[in-house]
Amino acid sequence: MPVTYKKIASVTVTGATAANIEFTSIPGTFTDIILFASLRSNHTTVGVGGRLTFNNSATGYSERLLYGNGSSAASANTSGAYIIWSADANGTGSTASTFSNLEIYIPNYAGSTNKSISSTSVVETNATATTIYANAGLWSNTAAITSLKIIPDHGSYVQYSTATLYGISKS
Amino acid sequence: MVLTFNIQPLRYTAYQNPKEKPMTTKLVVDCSTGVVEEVALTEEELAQREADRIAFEEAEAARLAEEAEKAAKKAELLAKLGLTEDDAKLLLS
Repeated sequence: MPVTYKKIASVTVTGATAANIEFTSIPGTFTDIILFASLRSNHTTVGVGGRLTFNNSATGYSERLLYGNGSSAASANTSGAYIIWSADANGTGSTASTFSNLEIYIPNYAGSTNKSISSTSVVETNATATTIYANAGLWSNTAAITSLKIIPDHGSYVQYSTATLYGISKS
Repeated sequence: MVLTFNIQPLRYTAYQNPKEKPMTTKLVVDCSTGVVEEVALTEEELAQREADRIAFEEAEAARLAEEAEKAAKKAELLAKLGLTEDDAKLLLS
């Protein structure tokens, strides 16, 4: 990892489940931020969609999604109260003890223009079903991002799910 | 006199107050301190979570129905033309 990456904060679900994970008081001192996470939900499906919101705002989100599982591919676009396909998690229908992995990149997060994001997430179940989601998102809001939240569509994140937020400075 | 003992199998039943819901919590990480707090969701957050879940399921059902309708129309058209899906792919390649 380039030396320009600096870990801001990290969290692991221990013991009890977590309905969502929220990073608050994100410092505005970096150029970009990136979130890496490894997630599993206690919902019964193989994969569980994951929502992303900023600053506890419920408006101004839109996205363009491409996804494929090795045998078919599709696309989707949505708009509404959150970016919906960025923080996907494995569910209990996937192989035991497997977790999704994902990254969400947010350039110019502290600037005064609308916020674009790009993300890739993989529901990797170490079996036949594997799906990758590549997403281009937009938060039409000029406020600096000071908090972000990831929320599973169904269920809660289970033990050993982790999320780490990094700040990236200009090299 | 015959004494009859009606012995019930021993069963463990966890006590649960029916008025008590299991607490749903979130993890909040304060990036300025690195402190992670486990915080109970408020009533509003719980209501929002349920509303989001229902909205997502409805949207997903609508999307899947649309996909199924599209696939059915495509199959109908191919049948009308006497073509297989491979034939159609070949024509479009």
